[in-house]
Formats: sequence, C-alpha cells, structure tokens
Amino acid sequence: MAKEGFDKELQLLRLMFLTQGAYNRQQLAERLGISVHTLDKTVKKLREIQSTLYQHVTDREKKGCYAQLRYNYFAVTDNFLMFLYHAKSLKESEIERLYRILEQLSRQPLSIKELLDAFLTTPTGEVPDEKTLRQDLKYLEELSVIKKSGDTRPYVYQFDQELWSSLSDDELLDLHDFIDVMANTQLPAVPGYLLRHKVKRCLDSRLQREDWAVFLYKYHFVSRILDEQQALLLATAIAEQKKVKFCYFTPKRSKFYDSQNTNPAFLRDSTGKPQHVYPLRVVFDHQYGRWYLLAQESEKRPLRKYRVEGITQLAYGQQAAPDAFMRMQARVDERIQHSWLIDTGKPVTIRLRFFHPKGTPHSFIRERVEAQGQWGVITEETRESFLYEITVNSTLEITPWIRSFGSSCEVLEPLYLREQLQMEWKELLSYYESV
Amino acid sequence: MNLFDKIHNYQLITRLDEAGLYPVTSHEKAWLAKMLKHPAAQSFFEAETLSKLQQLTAAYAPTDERELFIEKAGTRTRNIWHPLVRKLRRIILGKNHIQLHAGTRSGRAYRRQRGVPYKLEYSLAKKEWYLIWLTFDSEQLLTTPLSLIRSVKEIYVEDAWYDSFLPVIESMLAARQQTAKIQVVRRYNLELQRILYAFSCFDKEVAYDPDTQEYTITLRFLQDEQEFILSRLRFLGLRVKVVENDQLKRRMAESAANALARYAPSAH
Repeated sequence: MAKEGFDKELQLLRLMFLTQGAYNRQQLAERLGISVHTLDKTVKKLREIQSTLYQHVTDREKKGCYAQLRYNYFAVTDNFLMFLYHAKSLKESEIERLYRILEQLSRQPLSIKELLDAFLTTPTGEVPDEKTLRQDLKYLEELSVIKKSGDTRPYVYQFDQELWSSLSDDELLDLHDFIDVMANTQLPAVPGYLLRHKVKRCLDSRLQREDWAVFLYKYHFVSRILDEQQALLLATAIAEQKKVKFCYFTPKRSKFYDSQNTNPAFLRDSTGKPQHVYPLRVVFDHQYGRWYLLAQESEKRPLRKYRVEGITQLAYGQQAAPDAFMRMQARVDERIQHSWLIDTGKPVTIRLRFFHPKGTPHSFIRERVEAQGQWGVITEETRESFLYEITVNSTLEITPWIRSFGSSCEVLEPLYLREQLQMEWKELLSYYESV
Repeated sequence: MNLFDKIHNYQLITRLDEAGLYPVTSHEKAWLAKMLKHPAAQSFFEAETLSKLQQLTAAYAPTDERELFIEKAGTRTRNIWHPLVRKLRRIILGKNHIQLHAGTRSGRAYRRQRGVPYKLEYSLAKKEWYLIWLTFDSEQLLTTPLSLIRSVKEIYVEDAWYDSFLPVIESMLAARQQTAKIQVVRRYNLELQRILYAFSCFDKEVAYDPDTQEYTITLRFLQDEQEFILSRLRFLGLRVKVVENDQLKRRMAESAANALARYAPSAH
C-alpha cells in the first residue's frame, strides 16, 4: 500500500482557516491545484473526522466553530485544528481488532493464546489469525500502549494504564492543566494536545461533568500546529544529519497555494520545484506563527530559506558527511545569530528612541521593549524616553516591530530607515486623511 | 516520529473513548518527560505528584537534549505559571465566589472586592495570566492581571447561584463585541498569506472580490483588545487599511500623525 500522505488535507485546512469564507468551491480547488470533485471528497472526509471526534461536544455554538474552523475565543478551548492528526485511515477490520485487543488487555493480562480465545466471546466472534495478532501486539508494544511481562514464553500482555491508575482526580486535574499550558505555550505541541485530549476525556468521566476547563489562551496562532509534523521530520533529519528531498511551492505567487495530486487521473503540471538539500536549522517565527527551514544543497552552494508550509512530499535522502554537515550548521548559526528572524543580510546598527506613556507610572512601552527586543540593549533613560540599540542583519525584518509602536518610537539611525519610516507614516496618514 | 499514527485514527479513538480506554503512546510520554524538565513544572504539581510523573515517564525521556527548533522574535517569558492559577482554577471548578485584594497599574488598590470568577486567561502576546471576573461592587466584568492580586479568599456558594451569573457574564461579553473591516491594499496581494497569518489569532471572516481582486477581513473582537489590534495594524503598515470601524480609523490617523510629528525638523 502506498504511504498515506496528508499534504492535501493539511493545505486545504490551512487555506480554509486562513481565508475563512473568502473562496467558493471552484476558487478553493483552483488555488489548491485540485479538481472540485477531489476538493469535495477531501472536505467530506475532514467533516467526518470532525463530527466523529467531537460528537461529545454538545453545545451547538461550539459545534459550529469546529465545523466552520472558526476561531471563537470563548466557545472553543481546544485547538480545533487538531482533528487533522486523527486523519490516518484504517480498515474497519483493523479498528475492530485493535479495539478488541486493548479492551481485552485492559480487563486482565493475557497471553497470545488466551487473547485468541477471548476473541471468540466478542460480539462478532471473529478470531484474527495468530500472525496478524502477533504483528498487532508488536506494534502496540513498540508504541508502549501495552506492556509485555514474564521472562519466558508464553509472555503475558497488559494494557498500560499506569498513568491513569496512579493519579488521583486532583492530581489528574493538575496534570491536565500542566499539559494544557505547555501544549499552548511550548514547541512541539501536537503530542501534548493528543495527550491532553485523553486526560480531558478521562477527567470528564471521573468528575462527571464537562464544564471544568477554565483556561483561555489569547492571541494564539492555532494554525502553527499544522506544520509540526513536517517541522519534526526536518528536525529529525537534522539530528541524524540526513539530506531531505521535497517539492517546494513558494508562497509568493499569484496562486495562494498548490498541491501535488497523487491521483494519476488528475495529474497535472506541477509548479512546485524539486529540492534536494541538507537541512540545517528549523526556525519558528513568533511574530506570525510560521516555520522556516534553513538548508544548503552543498557546502559550496548558497544558503536556502524555505517556508515549511510550502514543503510537500518530504522524504529522507542520503547521510551527510559529519564534518561537512557540522561546518555548514556552524556557519548558518553564525549567520543567523543577528537575524531578527532569518535575514542573513548585512549587519546594521539601529538606534531607536522610545517614549514612555504619559499619565501612568507603568511604562508598558519599556516592558514591551524589554520582553520583545531580543538581544538589543537599553542604553540611556530619561523621564520621557529611553534609547535602545541593536545590531541586526538588515533592517527589513525588524521594521514591522518598530512600526507597531506607532508614535512611541522614533528611528534615530540609520538615516535611511528614519527616512523610510517617515515616508511610510506620511503615506499611512493619507489612507485616513478623510476621517 | 510520526504524528499521524494509526493509533490516533478518529474511529478507533472514539471507540476506545466510549469504553473509557485512553492509551498513552511512547511519543506522548516522551513529550511529557521533556516538559516535566521545564523549570516551571515544579510549580504546577505537589512534590509527590511531580516525582510520580517523572518516574512514570523516565524511561521515555529523550536522550538528545539539544533543542529541536530555534525560536525567533518571541516575547520573553517571565513565567508561564502563576502561584494563584492553581487556587483560582479550583475555586472556579467548585463554582464559588471570591473576595480579593488587588492593586492597579495606576497605583490604586482595591480591598475586599467580592465577585464571580469566570475564566483564567493567558495572553501569548504579553505572557501574563489574567483573571476574568464579575465584581459585585461595580457590576463590571474585569480582566485583572494575577500579578496585581494580593490575596484571594474563597466564598462558598450554592452551584446554582454561581451558575445564575453565567448568562449575565456572557451577555456582558456579547455587548463588548466589536467588528472592524480591514482591506488588504491590492498592491500587497502577493503578501496576502503573511497578512492573513498576522490576523490568524483573531476571530475573523475574509471576503474576496474576484473582479477587483480585493480581500476584506472582518475582525470580531472585544473592546479591550483594541490596543493589540492597533499594534498589529501598525505592524503591517501600508499593507492594510481599516475601512469600517470609526474608532480604529481615528486612532490609526492619530497614530500616523503623531509618529510623523516625531520626524518633523523641530522635534528635537
């Protein structure tokens, strides 16, 4: 069987989430580079996953939020894009088998023979062949979902419930809150969300209620989890110093997105470009909630920057020579040391004057500069203002941050940035002059 | 590691869920083990619980301690936890009222304010915890930073009494809802994706006009989120224009005029 990929689902979900209602079916399909028929099929599949997973979500409004992928702050406390990670398809018979194995092993430890016998008493009475059962047990054991015990054959298998059985309700509540906070604030998050879902359902049944979640996360880039699988695969390739191959779709094109279709009936010229590179660093940008890959084709070739969301059909390639890999990585670390994000342009020293807010003793401006100013330093302070200095690779990436302070920030140096900001404010004022 | 593992298949998970079975995978245990090493973990748990969890996950802890990713342009985190979170979350769980002493940013302090605690909110922009609660004195819905709360006392009440305030709080939230229409300036359409990412942390809808190729974003937000939205709008600069919401338009005009004034020759 061909390896099941989720590029198409992922891209559809991202496009629907980001553009929220902007496109009709035809336009969506066009931007994804798939037929309307394939689009409908994919949407139907995603809807089915959602409605199965969230059937216990009773509130009507909540259901609406899930179905429409709407970010409704007070109604939905889950990351509602998580359902994508439950998309792996499985045959009816395999679901039945895995379910029965876990169900039986949760009641009591059993050997393979006993397990086979136990299948006779299940509602279908269907007994899998021993070889299949052995494969299933091996898979579940590797996943550490079940445990094998005994020194000699026949081994006895048992469902691993330790986490649940050893924690009191109160402790489980603390665990839930911990996982919730960590999954929402740290990277990676997806394994945390997967675990949280289980802790939550377990608590629902232990506490006999479902309204106990009290945390809200404001200004959360929920869609960052869509690229986590790719980011983790790339991080693994980096740790193992392996080359990667992928097809890259640059996001700056007239088309919003594009995806490779695996169905030969819809095979079409792809606009994506095949890449074969050494992955060196995966960077997460907190300003937009996006992921980047920094890579090189070879030591002699220039550094390439990719947006992880444009990477499809990712596969591992050959092993790198350790010395060369380490050299490339050290070089890239050095080059991005002074990148606000990932810019490797010429370093420039920027000097800014920030103004304290008037009429309050609490300088939230200074607080923000200290929290977000990365490696920049505050050099002088008066009652009205303070100076901040930073050396960054070109002014391009830091400019939006500077602008976000509005009139609380003035660029002193370099002169060209000062002039640029002056021009921008002038033009921006013209947007609103009629107000 | 494959996050799309068949053990997570939605039909299988749902059936196991119905039977009260929650299989925890080695990936999840490894993730938990890694997170338990975070310095903040100690403040989440009683010492005994923490050591129990560490024991349960120790065998799965990743051996490679190097960071997987480089994070850029984040807000420095002072603390992802606040000692009051645990107490307040349990008061809310128990559906009880609170009496609290709190300071304010302006230096004034409030004593013995009674009210209904509603939710605990963590701002990923400010990296700070807040309590959303209804005060009895002023009948206002307040968002108070936990760092300003001096003390909290739990006041036991009947669940039904607690619940009776929820519709009041919800209607207050609904009354605070605002909308704004923001247009993506057409010459920046190539940057559409980035612009949409910048707004992806808000409740929004997007409209597209294929004739003019114009995108208009309708944002829904609460009154007190206005400052953050303004900073996002300034962040994007010329790429976006507020076309509906007079208050935002006026503030953007003021902001641009004041910023421009900083560069006037006579300023210094």
